[in-house]
Amino acid sequence: MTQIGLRHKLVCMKTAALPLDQIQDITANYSDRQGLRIIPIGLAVMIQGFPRLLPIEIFGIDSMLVALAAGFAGYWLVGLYYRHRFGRVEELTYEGQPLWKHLAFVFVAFLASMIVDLQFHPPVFVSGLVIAAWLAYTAWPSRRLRGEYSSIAMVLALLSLGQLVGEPQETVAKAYGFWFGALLLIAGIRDHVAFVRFFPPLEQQHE
Amino acid sequence: MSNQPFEQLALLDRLVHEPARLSILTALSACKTADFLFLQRLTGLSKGNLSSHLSKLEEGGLVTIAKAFEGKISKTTVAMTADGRKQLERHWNDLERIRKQATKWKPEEKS
Repeated sequence: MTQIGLRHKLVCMKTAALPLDQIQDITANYSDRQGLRIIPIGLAVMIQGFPRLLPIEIFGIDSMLVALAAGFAGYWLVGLYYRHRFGRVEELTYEGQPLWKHLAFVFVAFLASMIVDLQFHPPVFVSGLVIAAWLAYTAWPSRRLRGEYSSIAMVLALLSLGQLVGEPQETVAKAYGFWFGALLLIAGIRDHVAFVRFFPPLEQQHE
Repeated sequence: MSNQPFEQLALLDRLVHEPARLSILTALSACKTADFLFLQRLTGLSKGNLSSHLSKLEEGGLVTIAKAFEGKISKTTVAMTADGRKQLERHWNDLERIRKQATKWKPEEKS
């Protein structure tokens, strides 16, 4: 009986040490905190800054698109690792809307900005500004991403203005791709470390 | 009901207030469903202890537990009920009220 009481106390101490607001935060934003998932996407984006590293086409498809598709496939595959190791959470809606609606909106906005960049050659890199704005919004008011993504958004917004200091659009786009990818890699690793550290070691099994 | 905040503290619903169960309920309040492995990793509890806590919460009507098979592996998914959400909200409100009362509380002087 004494042993049960003591064990119970230890369990309480262990769980009480977990701040409840962080429990809510990590559960509500479970997929966004799985940092290793964005590593393949980061690599795929980073390679956009070095277009000569890849052949122009792979199986008749633009190699840059293939790289991005591989990045998103990697995102899904790494998700399986987290699911296997840390379990599965079905998240609530994204800012009051289903996640697919949010992603569809972001995709359409990005596609529209790409068309503007390619067709009208505006004095700033509009697609870059759209991505920066999305990152800033996701990191700050909604807090789905950790705060440092706001800093990444600021860096990306500044890079998007490169044409204003006389750099050609192509150079700005390449530099943007490289830095965006590199920053995603760093942030992803930091997300993963924070994620893993959050979970306490499992209790010894006595069953 | 006593006005003494410390006596009210003793009257809190133990089913919700126990730290492991409060952690579980807090996590479940932030998602639609979570599986057994996630809750185990989150709380650090052993399988037996977590099962015991979940059974108590299910008996109290605060959560629902669904078991299914993915291939040959059994998967347990837990979701909070509407009643569970209400009770957790009420629990936080009670704690907040008691905290406010405790800050104003002064010991009675004995003559």
